[in-house]
Amino acid sequence: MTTAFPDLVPSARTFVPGNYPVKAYLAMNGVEHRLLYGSTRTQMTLQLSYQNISDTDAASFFKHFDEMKGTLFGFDLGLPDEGTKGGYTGNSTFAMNANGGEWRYSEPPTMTSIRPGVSTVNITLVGFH
Amino acid sequence: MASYFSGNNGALFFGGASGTDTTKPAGKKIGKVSNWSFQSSLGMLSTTSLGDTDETVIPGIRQQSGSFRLYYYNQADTTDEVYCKTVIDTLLKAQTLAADPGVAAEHLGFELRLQIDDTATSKYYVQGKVYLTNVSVAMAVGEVVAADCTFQVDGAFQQVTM
Repeated sequence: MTTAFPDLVPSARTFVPGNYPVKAYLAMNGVEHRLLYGSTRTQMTLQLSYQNISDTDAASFFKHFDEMKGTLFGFDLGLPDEGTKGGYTGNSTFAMNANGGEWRYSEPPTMTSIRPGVSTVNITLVGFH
Repeated sequence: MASYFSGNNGALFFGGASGTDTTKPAGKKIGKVSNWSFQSSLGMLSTTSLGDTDETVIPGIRQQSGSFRLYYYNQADTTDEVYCKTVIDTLLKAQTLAADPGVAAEHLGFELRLQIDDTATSKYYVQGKVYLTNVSVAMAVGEVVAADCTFQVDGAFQQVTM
C-alpha cells in the first residue's frame, strides 16, 4: 500500500498549466499554420513550498518520494481545496490536471533545515498522461 | 523587601577570572561605566499557509545583545578593576606588520556580566560570553571622552538571575 501525498497546505504554490501539443509551420509566403497533435494538455508543473514545517512532516515527503521510486511513478493529489490545493477558491477542477493523468516528481524534493525540528521543503511536480 | 533600582545599583564585570574582591563573583569590575543595557529577542518563523487570513508563527532563534558606555578613564587596571582601554582593546587591534596592513590580531571574546546590586549578598545579573561588535569613541568640546560599545552574546546567557 502506497502512502498518499502529504495532505499539507503549502505556504506558496506556483502552477504552470502546460500546453497542448501544437506545432507551428511558417510557409514561404509568411503565413503561419498551427497544427494540434493531441487532445490533452501536457507538461503541467506545480511548484510547492512548505515553509517552517516540522521535521516529521518534512520526512513524510521523502517517504512518499521513496515510495514513488523517485521520479518514476505517478500519483494523485486528492480533492480540490484539500492539502496541496488548499486556499485556492477558483473553479472546482482547479485545472491542475483537468484532462486526467497524474503527477510525478520532476526532481527530488529539497529540504532546508531552519532550526532544530523545523525545516522548509520545496517540491516540483510535473503532470503527465 | 520590595525595591526599585537606579544607576547607582548598576555594575559591569569583565572576564571570567575574579579579582581579590570575593564579593564580586565573576570577573573584574569595569570602572567608570556610564550606562549599560541588554536585550533578548526571539525571531519568529512564519508558518502561514495558502488560505490563511492571518499570519501563524512558531518560535525561531533567540539573540542576546546589548550596549554600554565607558568613560575613557586613564588609569592602569588594578587587581579588582579594569578600565575602558582593556575592554575596547578586545576589538581594537593594531596591524601586525607595517608591510601587511590588512592583517592584525584576532578580536577577542570575553565574559561580561551586567549586574544590579541589591544588597551585599543579593544581586541580579545576566552573564555570557560576548564579542564587541562596535566601539565608538567620540571627542567633543564640553564633553567627557567616552566609548560607546555594542556587543552580541555568543549563544544564550550562561547565567540569568534577573
